[in-house]
Amino acid sequence: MQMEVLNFQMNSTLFNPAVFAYTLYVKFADPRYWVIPLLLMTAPSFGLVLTMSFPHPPLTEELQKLIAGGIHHYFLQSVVYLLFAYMFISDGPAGGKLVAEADSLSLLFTRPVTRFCYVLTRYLAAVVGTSILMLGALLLVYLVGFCYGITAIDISLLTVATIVLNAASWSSLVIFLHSAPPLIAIVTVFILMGCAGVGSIYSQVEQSTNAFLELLKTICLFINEWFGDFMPTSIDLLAMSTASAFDIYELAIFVSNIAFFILIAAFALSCREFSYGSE
Amino acid sequence: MPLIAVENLTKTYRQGKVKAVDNACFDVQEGEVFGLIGPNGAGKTTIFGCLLALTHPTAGSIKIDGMSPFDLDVKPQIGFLPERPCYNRWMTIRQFLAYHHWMSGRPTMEREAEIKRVLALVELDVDIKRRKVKEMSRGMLQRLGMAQALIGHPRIFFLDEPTSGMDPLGFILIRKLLLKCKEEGMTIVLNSHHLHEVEKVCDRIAFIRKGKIEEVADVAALSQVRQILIVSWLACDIDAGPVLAAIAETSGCPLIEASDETAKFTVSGNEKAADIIASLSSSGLRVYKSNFEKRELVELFLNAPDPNSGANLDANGGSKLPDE
Amino acid sequence: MAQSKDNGTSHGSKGRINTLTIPIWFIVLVSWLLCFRVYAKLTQCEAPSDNCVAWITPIQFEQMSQKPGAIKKDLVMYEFTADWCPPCKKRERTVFRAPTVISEINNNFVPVRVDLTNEALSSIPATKNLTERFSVNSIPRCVITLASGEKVDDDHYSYGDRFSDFITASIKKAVTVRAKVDLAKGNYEQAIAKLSPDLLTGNAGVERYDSSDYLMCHHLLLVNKRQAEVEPMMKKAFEKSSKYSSMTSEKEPLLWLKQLNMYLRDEISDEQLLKYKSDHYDKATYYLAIGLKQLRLGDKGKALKALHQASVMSAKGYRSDGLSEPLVEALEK
Repeated sequence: MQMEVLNFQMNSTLFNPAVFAYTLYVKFADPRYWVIPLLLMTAPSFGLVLTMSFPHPPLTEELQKLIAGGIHHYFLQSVVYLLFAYMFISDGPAGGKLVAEADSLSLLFTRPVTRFCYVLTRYLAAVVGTSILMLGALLLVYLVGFCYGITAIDISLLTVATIVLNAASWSSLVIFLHSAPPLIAIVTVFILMGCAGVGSIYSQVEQSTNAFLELLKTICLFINEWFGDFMPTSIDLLAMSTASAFDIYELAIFVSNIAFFILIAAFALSCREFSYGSE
Repeated sequence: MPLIAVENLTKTYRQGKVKAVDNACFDVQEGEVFGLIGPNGAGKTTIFGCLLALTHPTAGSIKIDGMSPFDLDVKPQIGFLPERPCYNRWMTIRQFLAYHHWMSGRPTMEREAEIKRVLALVELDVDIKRRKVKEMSRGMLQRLGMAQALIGHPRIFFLDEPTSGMDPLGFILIRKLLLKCKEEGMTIVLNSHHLHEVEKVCDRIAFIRKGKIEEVADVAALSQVRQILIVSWLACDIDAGPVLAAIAETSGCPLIEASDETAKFTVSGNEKAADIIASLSSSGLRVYKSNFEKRELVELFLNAPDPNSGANLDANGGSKLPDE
Repeated sequence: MAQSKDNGTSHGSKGRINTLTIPIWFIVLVSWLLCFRVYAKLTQCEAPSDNCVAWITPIQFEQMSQKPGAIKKDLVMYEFTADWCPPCKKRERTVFRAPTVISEINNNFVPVRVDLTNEALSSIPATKNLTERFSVNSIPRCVITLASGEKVDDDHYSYGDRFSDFITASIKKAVTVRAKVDLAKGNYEQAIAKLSPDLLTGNAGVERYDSSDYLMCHHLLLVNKRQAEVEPMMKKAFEKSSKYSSMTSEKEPLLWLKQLNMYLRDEISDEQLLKYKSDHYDKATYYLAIGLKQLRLGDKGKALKALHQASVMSAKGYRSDGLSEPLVEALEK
């Protein structure tokens, strides 16, 4: 059995190999869960290459750069990461019954697995799973491009790191959505999204002598300034490394957002109660 | 020192508006079989949730082997059979058991032997390992749940409604299994709304109603204490009514029901029963048959007069209990 | 943190692990990262006092443009931004901090920072004029114009290298824009003097969406009586353009250019040229070619009509050729 491949013992309260293997095995044991996403990911580039190959013109350097640029941005699409991370973290798509999730969790927590360990393990599994899918898709795209003579697709270490980091970023959001009770999770994410948008209120309010309005404006701007970027983001290491000024702040938000979301996920799960019975 | 000590356990929902468990206190000794019984919605499952550290108690304390149920060291010592068998449906039986064995952090070397052992314990064929969880019937799932709970010789075995969905053969299996576990010195805590198939395994029973533990009783003593004696006599021309009333008064055993040829008494022990039969004979009634009525423990408990009000509780819950 | 939730059941003994506890080191790590983030915000987001872009406000720019000789540079860069706009701040951090970009901007442009943070700033006439003129409906936005006001190029969401590429490209592009302005004014000699040799020899090729440059070269060579250079330029340009051909999925690439060239060589008539099935870009190009030809022939009425059509068509294709509109304006005067 494939599960035994990852069969090692680790006496740790941070990482449970069984949960890790389970999370990945659920999806990779069933070809539907990785073949279809892989094909979907590569389909546009297949199409692009096929269209290009109809009149059989020699591919110019400009065109190659164009395709490569398009593909590079395609692999930065946040929604793709979000969907894959959801696929790995949620038990719903695998169990068949969505109801089973809370029940299997309550059974899981009667085993010696701490809540933090569960969050961290599940998160790591999602990062690994999403990265494998994305890197697999990138490799396929590269090979398809290679067959048609497009060599401009960048498959350097920097691209790989970008994909892994983006998977890490979006998985942290999904693990939070998975760990917290749905309503609280949605409200939290809405509030954080609202913090980013609240600044534009400032632009709509006219200069006034009303002290309350002025205070409101100041508060809005303050919230926007300090909490506006508390959402996981995408990162493009390639662009960052070639930029004329390295953006250390961007890196700081990126990393701290991931850590922050894992923390609130663990906290939410610790506070959560599992009423497994009929109540 | 008791293995499980529950003191003043209270659990409320919706800011104290709903009291699921109200000031529950009980102890479970090592090697004991402890039953929690009560009607649906009495709070049995909530108590289980607190014991298994799935819910946070509002007040009170729980100690399992001197530790909080939230302690990581408690977890390897317990096995749990959930009420609803919502297991990972896509797994095969072997994978499911291996997953739980692995998750509990026990040595990899023992895994195969352990799976074989627990499957044998719940009398599932070893060939069944390749079948998927979703292909199994409700009764089979219940057995699988027990196999899962028994992985790694837990010290305490929690069973939530173990008999639901089981066929009569399953009832016997559970009883056999529980007795075997008891022999091995395992502590068993089970919870049910009808105990009549497993009552013989329980050493002690806590009766719960509306979140309160009304009584913790010894099963052996309990079955001794309140029995219903049915006596039948040959028809004759003696007016049985006054005779029966007099006997009931003198023996101190209340008369429940009387007709021309039969009567029912609540008796508290075999001595009293013998007295009643003797007095009936001496008063001229020719008793040809007398025996104890077969009753379930729950019913016995619920039909007993409430020590506080003195009224019979039959009107509310007692007779409405599902009696399969 | 989570342990406090576990009231009543928590155990006093040391060394035991509660299943609900979040390890203290992780909380410390997260706090440290959050502190680092605050530190990075405080250090990165404050504008450095020394080497930085010498931004001026729209009001200052208006005052400068009223004094003759106050504006020393030929290009103006308008950066539309606001305090509450995270992408704008990202641009501030990734673009306007790099020493190379700073010196390039300070050397070549009058940098005008248009702050739209609040109503008080965005409703002043100087700002409002700009937002309306460039129809700014999203920020960050950067518009580069000539000092005389003609738009050179604009950019929406570029960061880092892409933005510096944009600056470099627009400096190059400004040359042709200036030539176009001169052409519209009738200063043909000045115009041709400004054009790069690459364009005049056809070395740069013809881009379909920028064909006005090609037409301008052709026109300027003719009006400056350099007919001998026309044919080699056209030939070379066609040759070079074939590199773009594979980017289209047309059956016969560069058909539009062949048609155009035939027209420029007087082999087909106006009607025949317009008959060729084409989209808005091509139509704009053709009308521009017709307009310029009429201009050379001296028929101002016909020229005005064709040039008007050209500007309409290019607007339909969401692309300004930068030539038809100033020409229409000049002719209408």
